Amino acid sequence: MSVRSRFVVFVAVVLVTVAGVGVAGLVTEQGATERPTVDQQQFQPSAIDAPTVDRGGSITYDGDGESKTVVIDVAHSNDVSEEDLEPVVSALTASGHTVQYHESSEDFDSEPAARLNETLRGADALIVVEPGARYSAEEAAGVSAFADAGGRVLFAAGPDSGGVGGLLGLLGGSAPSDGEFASVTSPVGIAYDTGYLYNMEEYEDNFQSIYATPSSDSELTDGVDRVVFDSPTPVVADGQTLLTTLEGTEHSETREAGEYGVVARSGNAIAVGDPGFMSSQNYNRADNDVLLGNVLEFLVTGEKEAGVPEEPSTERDTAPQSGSSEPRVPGE
Amino acid sequence: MSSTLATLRNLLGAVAKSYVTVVIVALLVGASMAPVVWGMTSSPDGTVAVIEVDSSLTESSAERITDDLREARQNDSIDAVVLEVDSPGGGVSASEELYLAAERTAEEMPVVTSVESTAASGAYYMIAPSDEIYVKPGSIVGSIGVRATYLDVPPTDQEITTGPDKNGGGTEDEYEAQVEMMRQAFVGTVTEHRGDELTLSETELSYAKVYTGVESVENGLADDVGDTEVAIGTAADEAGLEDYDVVEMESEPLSGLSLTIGGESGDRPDASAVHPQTFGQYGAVNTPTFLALWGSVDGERVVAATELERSVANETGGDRP
Repeated sequence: MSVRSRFVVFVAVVLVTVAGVGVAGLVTEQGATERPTVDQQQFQPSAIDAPTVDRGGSITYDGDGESKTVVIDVAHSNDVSEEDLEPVVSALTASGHTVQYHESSEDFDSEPAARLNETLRGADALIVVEPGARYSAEEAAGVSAFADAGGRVLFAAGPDSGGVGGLLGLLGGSAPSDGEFASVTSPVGIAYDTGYLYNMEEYEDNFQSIYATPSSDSELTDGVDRVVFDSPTPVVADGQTLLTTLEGTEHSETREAGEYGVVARSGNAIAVGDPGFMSSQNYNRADNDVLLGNVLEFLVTGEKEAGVPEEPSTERDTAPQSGSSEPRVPGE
Repeated sequence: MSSTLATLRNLLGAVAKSYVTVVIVALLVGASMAPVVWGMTSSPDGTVAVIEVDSSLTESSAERITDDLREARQNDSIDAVVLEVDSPGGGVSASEELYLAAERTAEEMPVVTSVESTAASGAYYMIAPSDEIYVKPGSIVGSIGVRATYLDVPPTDQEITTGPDKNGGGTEDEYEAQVEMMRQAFVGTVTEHRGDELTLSETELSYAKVYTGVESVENGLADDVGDTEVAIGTAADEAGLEDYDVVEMESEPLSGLSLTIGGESGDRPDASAVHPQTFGQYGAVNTPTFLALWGSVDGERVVAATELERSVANETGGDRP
């Protein structure tokens, strides 16, 4: 065999070997490298409902033509900021009413009740938001006398009102609020619950942003379809429950479902379970502006007797006036 | 000389033609091939890979786990995967990433989960597409929900910004809407994969409660009581393996973040131990972040939550009721 023929055999063997491996590779080819996609239906934007917040409207109300003085109590460690009350203050001021803050004395105040009564004697309405300090019996008696004399009172507090709320909150639970707030609300026939309300079925954009609807016809609910409260606390009054949460609303502590009263009236006092409904952030959600207009109209249309409350007596009587359902407003 | 060579040639020819020689050569060849044939006939049918998920879910830990899952899909010798899970969840996006990787793997081979101590929130998100979920009676699963946390952001009136939300990223309402949308995706995922087994409605899931192993078997969040050995056996069965190997895939050298679950912070290491970015901590920069997590992160302030179980969050400074 010549060298030439041996070379031909060598090349032929190499070619056959390489070609064989190539053909084997093509025959046994296992497909392409994966190119994953995300097709999960629940991840597609079309499957997700973006919650919307119904905003709009402004606060409108009618007065009785008189300029009234509305006192905002900030002397009881009230957890209230400028933003919380700005819509109220602006709406009252724009209509010619006077807003006055009752502040705690910078010096040692030996007679806070006397100072409060003095302020209330010149006032037509009182707003108390999220007090953090207990009212003394004398102060509470003054507020009660003020309401009895035709002065209009708005109480607004959420589930964490009360002086020790923050500390107890750190321990993992809501603080009982009515221990502090009841000192002033109870004498006028109003009680705040503890805990907050939520609704897992029907809510605005969060389970705590819940709806409340009128439960009775009243000037205070006139024009209100539904309002939005942010984790309100239930309120009860010996008068009329004005707004209740939707069926299925649950209580954070008892976990019981039901319709809970969140706005109630007792005579000349009304109680709201969420002070945030009148804040800059929330006043124009849903029909909050309508409710707030009605509340302001209520506050500035009272007819308070002059000279009330009088100087505080030494008698300490803070018993709740439960059972008293007599309207306290003449002609109402 | 030539006669000697001829004799030798004849002798070799006779030997070559001998049956004895043929048998000996055949035995030698057979013996050399025997180990290969033995290996082909007696080795396991396949391999079950065990992937450990034992930390909070951050982008860092998620990358390690998704790498392992990809390796399981691409390695022909791996026939099934067991997820050995002990995690309270973590970042929402990290949890979603792990869910996608787990489901992608489950489409190609059996994926069975063994819950060690905890598979809560984002960790449950990840294991939802498993073919089977095993728990121990004292395991904890559930917490189907999302929360947005907020770290101090400078108010825009202290600096010049190009828009009112440049610092905060949006209003509280908008954050609430965002966690709500994340909740829908999370709950939708759980019902998509566990809907046939679940006795809980979407609303009940959204309470974000945690359940013990026994409870979770009853309500359908888990399938049965079992440990990792049971999970491995089930994975092998589902892959059709009579005889199988078990390999533990490479584990992360560092353990996860230190999280305070239902207790005081104490002297635990900082939450930024491994991948603080997931918790909104980018060095000197802090950002709001979204967590699918059961437990709390040091310094966290919750601005919105989709779930009710917020007492732990409040413990670290939540300012809402």
